[in-house]
Amino acid sequence: MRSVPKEEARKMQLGKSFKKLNLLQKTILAILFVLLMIVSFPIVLILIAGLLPTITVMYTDKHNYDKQIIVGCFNIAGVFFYLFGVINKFSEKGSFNMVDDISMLIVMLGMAAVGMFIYNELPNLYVYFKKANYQKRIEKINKRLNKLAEDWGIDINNISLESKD
Amino acid sequence: MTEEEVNNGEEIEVYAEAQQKSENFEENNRFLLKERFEIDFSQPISWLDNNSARAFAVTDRIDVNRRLFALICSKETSPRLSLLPYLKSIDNSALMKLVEFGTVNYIPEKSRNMALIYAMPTGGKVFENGISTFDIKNNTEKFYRFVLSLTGIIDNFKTLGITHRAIRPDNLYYRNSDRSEIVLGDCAASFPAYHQPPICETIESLDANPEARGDGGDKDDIYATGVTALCLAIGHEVLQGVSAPEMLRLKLRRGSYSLLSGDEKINNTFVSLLKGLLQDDPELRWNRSQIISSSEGKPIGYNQQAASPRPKRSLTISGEKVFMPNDIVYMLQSNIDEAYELISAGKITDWVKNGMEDEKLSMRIDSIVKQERSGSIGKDTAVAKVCILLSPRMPIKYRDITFFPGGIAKAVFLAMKNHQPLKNFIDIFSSDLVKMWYQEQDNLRSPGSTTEFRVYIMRQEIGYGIERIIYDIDNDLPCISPLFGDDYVSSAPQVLKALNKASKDADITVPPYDRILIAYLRCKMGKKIDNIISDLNSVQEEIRASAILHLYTSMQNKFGPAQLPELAKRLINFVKPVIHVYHNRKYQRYLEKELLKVYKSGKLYEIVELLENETALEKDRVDYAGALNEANILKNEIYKITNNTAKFEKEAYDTAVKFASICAVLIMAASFAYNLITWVLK
Repeated sequence: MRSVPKEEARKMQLGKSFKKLNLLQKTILAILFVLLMIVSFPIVLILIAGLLPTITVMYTDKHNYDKQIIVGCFNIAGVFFYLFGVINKFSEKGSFNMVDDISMLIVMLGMAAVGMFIYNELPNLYVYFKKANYQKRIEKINKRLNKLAEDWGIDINNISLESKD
Repeated sequence: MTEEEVNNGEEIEVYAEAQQKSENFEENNRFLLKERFEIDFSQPISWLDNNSARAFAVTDRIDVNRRLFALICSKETSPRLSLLPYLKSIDNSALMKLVEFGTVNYIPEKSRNMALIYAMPTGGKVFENGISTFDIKNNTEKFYRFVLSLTGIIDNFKTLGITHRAIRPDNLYYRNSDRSEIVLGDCAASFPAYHQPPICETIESLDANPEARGDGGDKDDIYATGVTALCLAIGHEVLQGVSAPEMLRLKLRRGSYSLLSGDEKINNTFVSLLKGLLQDDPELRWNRSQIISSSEGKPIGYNQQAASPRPKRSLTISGEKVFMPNDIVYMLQSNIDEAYELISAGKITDWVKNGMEDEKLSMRIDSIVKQERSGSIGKDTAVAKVCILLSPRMPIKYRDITFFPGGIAKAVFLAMKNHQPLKNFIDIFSSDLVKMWYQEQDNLRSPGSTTEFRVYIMRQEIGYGIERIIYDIDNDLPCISPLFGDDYVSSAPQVLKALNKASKDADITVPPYDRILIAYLRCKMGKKIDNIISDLNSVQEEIRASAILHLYTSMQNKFGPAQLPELAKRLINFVKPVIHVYHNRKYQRYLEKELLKVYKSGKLYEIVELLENETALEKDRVDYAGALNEANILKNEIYKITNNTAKFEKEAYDTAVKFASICAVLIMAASFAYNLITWVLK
């Protein structure tokens, strides 16, 4: 039986809680949500434009939370540079100007790209170094074993292993 | 320089001086025995050659006027070593005096041989070319005196538990140049009775192979005295050139006295004495007291009860009718196939029952027949056993070997020396023939080890086998291990010296011991080397090497000599496996180097001390255990790394991802903080 991840269970719980609400409650919530969107439109616009890579990852790699966190965090870090600017120029025009600004898109999406790069390459790089480290350790052990064999005549190939785990 | 080094130096000088002296002597074809008797090999005295030993002139350095000669024993047989101390101690005017004995360098043959130094009989030989020069024919008193002097020697020997077994006409000498006194010559230079002419041996002894006649008893010597006296009475030797089998046949058919006296004229006063001495039945043969009675003209008390009664019926073997058990045994032994048929057909049993009227004996023969039929004994053994029962006095015949149990060791010795097959001897020792023969004797006790023969033969290990048996039952035999080359080793203390000498040119790949040597040492040194023998049979090379090193070291400590450099050199090659008992390679190399230094002193205990140092061994054991443990741990580590690569990679990957996630969160937080601060400040 497949175990359900905690996050998924939480979402399912939320979904169940949402379904338990009656129609009036659901309608009020929807109205409140739409009102919020309208009131904070400039921020929503920046967020939609800036967090596009994160949203894509969340959609395409639903269960890869590590990828979502890394890409998302880097993406959000990039978005933060412009999100506070929107507060100062809180208008649709200001926010559209920002979205039009290519350098701002490069920063926001570039940070997501850095996150993506780190997610893809850092573990491999770490594994590579780790493997090299093991190799070095094996060489060192072999050298020591050869020395023991030379000094004591121990037949290395015939040593019985204490445990094989 | 330490005191020990000074002593060693002096010892070496003394040794070198003695060596030098010995070499100087050898250059002059001489050998100095026991720093006193100078044997001159350039002066052979051929008329004194005796018992296959060669005679040479000897000078006594202390008493220069003393006339001596040396008999250099042949190496084809062996001198009767156990007799020599007795002979040296006996002072009998009728016996050639043995003055000294010892091993010498026999320069003409470049070998080491036993030398017997005797007082020279200056009057020459009594019989020259078979003719007596001692006029005794008509002198009864002289004749009796002669017989009594020889029987005196025999009695003397009997009290010491030994026999002469070389009483014969050509072994008589005149003590002095006035030729008034006769002395009996050597009896120890070769096997007992080995060189006796057929006329001088009894029927029983003649039946045995010459080398297997054994020490015999005083009755055999009395018989030989009778023959010698008869030759003196006649004035010449008789029946020369007749072979032993023919002589045996003639003696059985005609009786000894009748055969030997033939048509010769013999003084009537001698006849009864000679008949008494030449009785073929040993129980009827005269003893010394009977001879004395005869010389005094007193009546002789015959022991008629002792005489075997003549069976009422005869037995026909090979077309010949025979009555007496001795004759029957001789015929059976001569015709084994026919003997077997007679035994199987029950004819022997019938003859014993009806002819000898001995129901008990017939039942015993019957049981042997049953044993043969059941397959537990072979044809030859069955015939031999029946012969033992019929006439226990006769020797045992097994295939082509006819022997007295007391002489079998010498027969084996000769076969070994001549590289002849030993299978028949092994079969004899595997059977109970020897034990059975002793059980049938009235006055003989079997050697203690008789019951062990089969065990010794069965055990294939070193220190057992036929070699052990011969040295166990015969103290006369020298060690004939090929390891000694031409040296002569007649006691345990001589072993190391001989080995040291032989090691000089020896092949170092050949172990410094063999089956013969170890069997010899076991018999000479007793049970205390049993542990060493058991180690010598180990499959582990180092245990064998250590055992031989310990054996030779204890022998050197006990018997000397102080220095054995050549043997030590050979041993350090052989004991190399002991070095490998140590695990530490560096220490092994150190030991190898040290051994090369230590052997030069020739002290074997130094090699033992170096190789078997308890402290070093313990340290090596502990360190090796540590090294082994470390190697085990390291090997486990390698195993873990190589067998869990995928798992480790996954772990590393996950760790890296987690790290990246944390970094991402931190960067996000940092970005938030930076932008918040910037926003606030603006």
